[in-house]
Amino acid sequence: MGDSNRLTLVASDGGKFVVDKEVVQMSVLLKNMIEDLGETDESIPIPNVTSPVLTKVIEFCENHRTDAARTDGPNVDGDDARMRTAVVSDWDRQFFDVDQDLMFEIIVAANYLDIKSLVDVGCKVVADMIKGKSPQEIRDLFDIVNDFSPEEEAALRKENEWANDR
Amino acid sequence: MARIQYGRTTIDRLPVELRTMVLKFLVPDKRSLARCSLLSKDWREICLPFLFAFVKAKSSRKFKHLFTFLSGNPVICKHVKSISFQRKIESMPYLGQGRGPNLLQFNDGSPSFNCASLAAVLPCLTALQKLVFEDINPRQGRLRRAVGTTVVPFKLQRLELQCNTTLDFLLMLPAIMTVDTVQFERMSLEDGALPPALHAHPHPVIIPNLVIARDAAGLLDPLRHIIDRRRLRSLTVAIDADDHYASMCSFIREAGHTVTSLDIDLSHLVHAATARWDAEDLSLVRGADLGEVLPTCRALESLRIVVPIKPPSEICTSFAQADCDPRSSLFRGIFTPQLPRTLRNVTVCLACDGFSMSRKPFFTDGTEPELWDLATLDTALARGILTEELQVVKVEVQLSDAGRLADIPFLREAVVQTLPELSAGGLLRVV
Repeated sequence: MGDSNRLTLVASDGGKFVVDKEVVQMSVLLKNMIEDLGETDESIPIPNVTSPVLTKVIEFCENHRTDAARTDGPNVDGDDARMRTAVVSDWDRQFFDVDQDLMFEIIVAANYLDIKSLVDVGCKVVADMIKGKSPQEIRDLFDIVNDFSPEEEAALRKENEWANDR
Repeated sequence: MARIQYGRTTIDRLPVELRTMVLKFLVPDKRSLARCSLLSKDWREICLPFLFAFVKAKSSRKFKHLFTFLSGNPVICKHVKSISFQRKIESMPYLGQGRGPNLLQFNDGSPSFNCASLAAVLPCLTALQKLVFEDINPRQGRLRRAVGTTVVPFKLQRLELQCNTTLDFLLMLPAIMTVDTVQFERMSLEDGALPPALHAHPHPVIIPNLVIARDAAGLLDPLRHIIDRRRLRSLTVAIDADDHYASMCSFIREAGHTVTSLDIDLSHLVHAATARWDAEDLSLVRGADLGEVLPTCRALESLRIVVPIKPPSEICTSFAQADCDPRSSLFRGIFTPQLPRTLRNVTVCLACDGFSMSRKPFFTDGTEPELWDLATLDTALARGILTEELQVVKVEVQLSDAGRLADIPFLREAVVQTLPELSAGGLLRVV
């Protein structure tokens, strides 16, 4: 019989990770799964997440384990207030100081595992990368293909003037 | 739930829900949102609901262009939640002291607000929740002609009329669409007189929820003659003058049978009265008039009263006669045993109003917090008078400096000690 406070997660590439239940419960998906399974020694497969990504996700959850209760509670202020007040700590910023592929895979994995705080931090980091840049700079940064003709883009710029205070 | 895509993960391969979340963090920064909308067709589609949710035309020269823009862009129209029209006088020459134009009368020669264009575009704005008019005064008669046969098949959540905007909008908009809440700000009527069109209007206007800011409280009396008081459900009003207080009481008396919610801000009235040290004026602050009309509100479910909270040293500390002291008579006047038994929620808001709670010595040097005669709540509400329906009695402490009540526990304690029976009965919430 293994340690009942720990369980094993298996990544899509077969990598195994033994973690505290308290830590993985930041993931709503895993929390529900653990509740459904009850006491068990069986490992939990995470078929959509590779080992490098799962390593980072677990690192985040371990660092934020004391925030778990907060993420469990109802979101009384709603999404908009959360968006306005979200602050990215130095640790979180350092955590996302990785190549873009890994950064987006972490965000997608967090969304799949339903770890709200990690999704929030990831999206806020991406939003901060966008701020203050021109459209071309953003395209270059994220490798986005511009499918507007110059005429279309000029027309849209004019339309956008209504989005600002006039 | 999103699934990992194999191969390289780029921002364009993030599911729409995640890209939407990124954009939500950019909502306060419209320039960045606008730039994202130019990245690609895919990004533009995701950006549009955020980009055009709130549209403003900040000068009369822009109104015509906005109507043209909206009528030519049905896709954008369906994302617009709020439109604000603000008339602003542009490039006004300085004519020297004493020779300048009267700002309220000044005609800048710019095109007038085109009501027909508004009526034409409204049905396309299917997501519209709020319309704001600031200082918009089309020529008389144009509004009603403009409406024509227009019918808008959705409900407008909020109509805000501000700063000398004509009240004729009250005839135009509710005639073509259901309007849930009307709010007035920075409005007054010359000599308190209604525009002739409104005076002659045969049918009362249906406004379920009415919000009147302190700087528009002079409208209370004229509005009595315009709106259908039998259809009023809630009234939110801030009062700072004696005659407005009397108008409000008359208003409530006449609308009393159907009103379910009253939110009355007396903080400025109390400030004004206590600042004058005038026993006659203070009689208003006793709340007796309000206490007389509240029992007529037979459907009233929610009542909120806002008063100022100040340290005793800043509010009148001595009165010529003890019974003139508003601190011992305000709530006694309002919270009488005759209050309607339909009440479910009672809130008393102690508004800090510029007083910084960080100046705690006022409360910690032995003086007690100014809680008025809050104890009256215990007497009126806790001792079986309203127990049937009453669910919660809330005491809100409104702090001016973004402080939290949790940071000043002595204040919470003082409130709880003042209301022991409500507290023991589990009805009290201090927030």
